[in-house]
Amino acid sequence: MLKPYFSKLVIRDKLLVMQLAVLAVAMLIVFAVTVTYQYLSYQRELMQDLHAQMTLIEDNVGSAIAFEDAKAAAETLQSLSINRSIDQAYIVLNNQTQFAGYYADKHRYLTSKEVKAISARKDGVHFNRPIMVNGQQLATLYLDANFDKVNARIQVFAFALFFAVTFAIFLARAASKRLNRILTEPILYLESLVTNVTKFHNYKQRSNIQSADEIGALSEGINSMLDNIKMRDDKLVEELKHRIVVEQKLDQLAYFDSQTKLPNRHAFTAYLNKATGEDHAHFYLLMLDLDFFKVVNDTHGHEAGDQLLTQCGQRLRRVLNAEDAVFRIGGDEFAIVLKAVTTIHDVEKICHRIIHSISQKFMIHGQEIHIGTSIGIAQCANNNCTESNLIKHADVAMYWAKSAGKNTYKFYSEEIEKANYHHQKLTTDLQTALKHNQFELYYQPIINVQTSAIEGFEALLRWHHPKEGMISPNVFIPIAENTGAITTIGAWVIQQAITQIKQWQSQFNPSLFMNINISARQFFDKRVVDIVRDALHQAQVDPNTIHIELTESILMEDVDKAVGILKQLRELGAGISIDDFGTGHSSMSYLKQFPVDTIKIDKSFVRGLPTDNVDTAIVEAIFALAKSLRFDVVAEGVETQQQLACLKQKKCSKVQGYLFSEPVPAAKIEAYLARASKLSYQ
Amino acid sequence: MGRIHIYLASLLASWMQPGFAASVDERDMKAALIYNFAVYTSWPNNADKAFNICMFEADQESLNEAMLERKVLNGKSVHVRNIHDIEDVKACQVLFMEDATTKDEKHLLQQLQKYSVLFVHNGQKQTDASMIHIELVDKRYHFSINHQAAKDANLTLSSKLLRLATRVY
Repeated sequence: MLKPYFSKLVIRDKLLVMQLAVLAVAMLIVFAVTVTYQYLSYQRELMQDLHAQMTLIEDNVGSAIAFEDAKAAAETLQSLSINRSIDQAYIVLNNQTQFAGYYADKHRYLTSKEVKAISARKDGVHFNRPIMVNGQQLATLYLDANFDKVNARIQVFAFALFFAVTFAIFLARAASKRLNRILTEPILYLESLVTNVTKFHNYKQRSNIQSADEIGALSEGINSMLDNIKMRDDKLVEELKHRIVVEQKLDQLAYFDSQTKLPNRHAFTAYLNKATGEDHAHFYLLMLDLDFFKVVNDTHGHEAGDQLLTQCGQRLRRVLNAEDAVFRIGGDEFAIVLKAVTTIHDVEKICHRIIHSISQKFMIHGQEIHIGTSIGIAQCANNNCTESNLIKHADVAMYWAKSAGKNTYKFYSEEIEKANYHHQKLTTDLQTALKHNQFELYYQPIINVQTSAIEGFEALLRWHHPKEGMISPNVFIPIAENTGAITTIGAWVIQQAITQIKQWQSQFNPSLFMNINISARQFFDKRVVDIVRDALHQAQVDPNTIHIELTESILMEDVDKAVGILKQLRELGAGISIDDFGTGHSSMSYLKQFPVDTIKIDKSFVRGLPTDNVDTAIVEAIFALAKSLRFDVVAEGVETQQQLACLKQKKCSKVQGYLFSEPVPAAKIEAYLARASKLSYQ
Repeated sequence: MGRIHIYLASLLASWMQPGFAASVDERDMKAALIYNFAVYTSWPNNADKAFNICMFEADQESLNEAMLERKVLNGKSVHVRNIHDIEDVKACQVLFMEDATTKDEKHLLQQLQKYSVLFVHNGQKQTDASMIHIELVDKRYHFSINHQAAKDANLTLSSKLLRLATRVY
């Protein structure tokens, strides 16, 4: 029961408890032995006293008996009163009569029965002794004593001894406490030392206990243990320092680009990962690609390229704030994370600074080098940006910047990307559209104003996209021009249109003509003349019934070359029409150089007829010009009777427009022509 | 030391040997007294083989001689002797004399002192020579001791005896 309590005690108290327990047991034994011994001593003493007194009585009382002096005998017996243990003593003569007696309780007379009762007491002592005089027994002395006095004495003794023992235990407790402190103080000291060391990891502390006993040995042991720990700790710290240095070096290697001393792609990924993971992350990612770096590398060597990169890195670092991060993430690619700016305007200012800084001349090996940079910018906001998306977007924007003519910057936007994607998709699809017969030529009739008869057609290309349906030429022609697909598509258009008109000429009217549009790129392709020639030849068609339509701006791109090509086409016998006349920037002086047959008034002027004075004036001027230069005139985009009447009044010979027919498939034209010829025959 | 009450008859019979028990009278009592005095007295020269208690012829009948004759004292058998002349005292250890007997006291004293004889005298009249004087009072014998006389005769009386005497002088 006491074990848990005892186990909770500190050593000093445990020691004290044990010492006191042992002392108490020892004292108890001593107490018991002493009291017992003392009791026996008291008893023996009593016995001896009784014997001595009896001997004295026996000695003295003999004469009294001899002389029958009972009083003297009684007086002698009375001397026993000094011994209070004696209850009674009496002398019985040989004839069994009592001669004299002494009774401790002298105040009352004892009956013989009471006397006998005392003699029979079990807890007392009873003696009898013959009284001899001159060798003869005269009487017997009886003596009865009790141990009450002995008991009382032993009680007092025990009581005193108990107090002495208790006092001794108290003294021992006080002494033990002091002694235990001497013994336990070093233990406590060591304990607090060890606790301190454990708590504060201060391994410099040492125990200063120096004694030859076990505690001294323990203290020495702890000290040497601490020495060892300290040594190991120091070693560990040293090793840790070394490791940190090594790690820093490795980090430097792993996270820094040795050429530019900028953080590398690895660091960039980690940085971006962290930045995107932050709450309320809002920053801009700039992806930079050096323009013409490859050229520098190729012409000035790799060493120059490396130096250029280093200097670029320095310039970038200079134009940015301290909190903006720059990384070299690839050959000539850099990434910048702008955290300090908040508005797009600020970003634009920084982009301007960067572009300006990079486009300044670099001096490498005494040579001036000029490069530029294209920057794509992606914004991380509203916590919905991921590292990979951000990089992809910035990359996309960078390619836009590059496509937009380099040395510029572009912000990524989802709408633009979607549009671009669509553009890209169309570009891809366009490559195979011809093969998959997705192109079709539509034809818009050109009407003789006077007769209202169909005189010819303008062939217009249509693309039936398998998914998106009909796609406008305004959308896919520029794509085809950019990709170069226009050459083959254009060739197909020429062949198709010529073949078609040949068929209609032979079927309906040999004087029907076909206007075929040629784009700029196709026009300046040297094969265009051959293609037209081959088509004409193949179809065996009258070249005069084929008109090549060109816009003013095409002709103005390279006037000399255009004149040459036009002349070759004219030599083939084909006519030349200038499309959308009035909208371009044609010079009147150049106009007379071009071998042109027809000009087509743009529908934007026709639309204002007859009410808009400016349009009317322009149209009139064009008619005047055409008349003086002997050009035929076709008015495009005629949609109302008023427009037609107006044009008729101004002696316009041909028109085309929705008033008569929109561009329609060949079958519709055929049906119409068949019907018309049927009517004419009737 | 106080008075002595000596009970006669039954008491004597009890503490004396059975011999005394038969007839208890003054003769017996005196014989017992004399024997007891002898018990508590020491003699200087104790070479004699017998212990003689002497009486003058006139006192022959005053003691129960037979009772004394049966006694042994310090290993010596007791004899009762009748003497005729003071000179005979030299062979005695104890001399008993009744009051009526008249003798040359001075001479007797000399002899007693010379031979160390315990002189026990009974009667009303005291003699200078007597060392122990016994007297019957109310049927009991009281005794007084002339300690100086005893010392003069080189006799040593036990303190126990002195203590029991009615008077010591």
